Amino acid sequence: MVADPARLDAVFAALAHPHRRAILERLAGGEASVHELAAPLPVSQPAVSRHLSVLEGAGLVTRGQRGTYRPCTLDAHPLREATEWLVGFRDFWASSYDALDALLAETDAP
Amino acid sequence: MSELVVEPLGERAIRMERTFRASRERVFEAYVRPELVRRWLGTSRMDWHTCTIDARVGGAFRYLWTRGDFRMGIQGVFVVLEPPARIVHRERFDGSDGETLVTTLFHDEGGLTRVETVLEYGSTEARDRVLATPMRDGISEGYVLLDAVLAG
Repeated sequence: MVADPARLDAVFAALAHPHRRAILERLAGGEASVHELAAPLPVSQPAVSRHLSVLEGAGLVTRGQRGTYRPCTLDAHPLREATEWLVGFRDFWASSYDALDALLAETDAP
Repeated sequence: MSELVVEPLGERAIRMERTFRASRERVFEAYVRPELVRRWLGTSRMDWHTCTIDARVGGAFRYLWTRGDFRMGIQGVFVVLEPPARIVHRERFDGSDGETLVTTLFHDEGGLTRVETVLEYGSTEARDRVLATPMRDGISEGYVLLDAVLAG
């Protein structure tokens, strides 16, 4: 509701692939190079690079440069935005109304 | 105590309905008294920061929730206040330029109260964005991942 819809679309598109989710999970544990990210995945290093570009486009990953080492780092900020958005309109009201039920029951006159 | 109904209405509106086991007076009160609103409006994923309500025609309300550095805020103005039957207000989410006209009707159903809410958006696109669900491919798994990442 607050976040830019185009940016949310990019985040959701980025999350919609199992290898990209695996990459994010790995990066949640700390920075890693493309080589390190590719090692546990059944795909080539160029394929991992393409996934990283998608994640970078969504603002989820940044790539640094330290000499010959190019670490990839997770940026969780867009995830946080997306998580809050995922609460969703219906969830928001279903949850609110359940709480209202409880409140009305609690203050019931004897 | 009843199923929540959420459905599109016409081109630009959403209609919601839910029945509560309490009189219209008490349900109405829960909508306009900040100390009561704080106890039910929102989700467990967000914490209340501000809840102020000037329950008069032309009076303003302000709701703000936070979660970490995330903020979700709504501000609005009352257009009609007819206790215990009807509230009409305009509202706007922080960071959005779209205003929504919200009509809340409190129907007496033999001691129970059926609350019917119609939210009218500025455009069909704005309405559809609100109704969109996250249940697309990979999203629910993404949700689990998000929780894991945010917990870490």
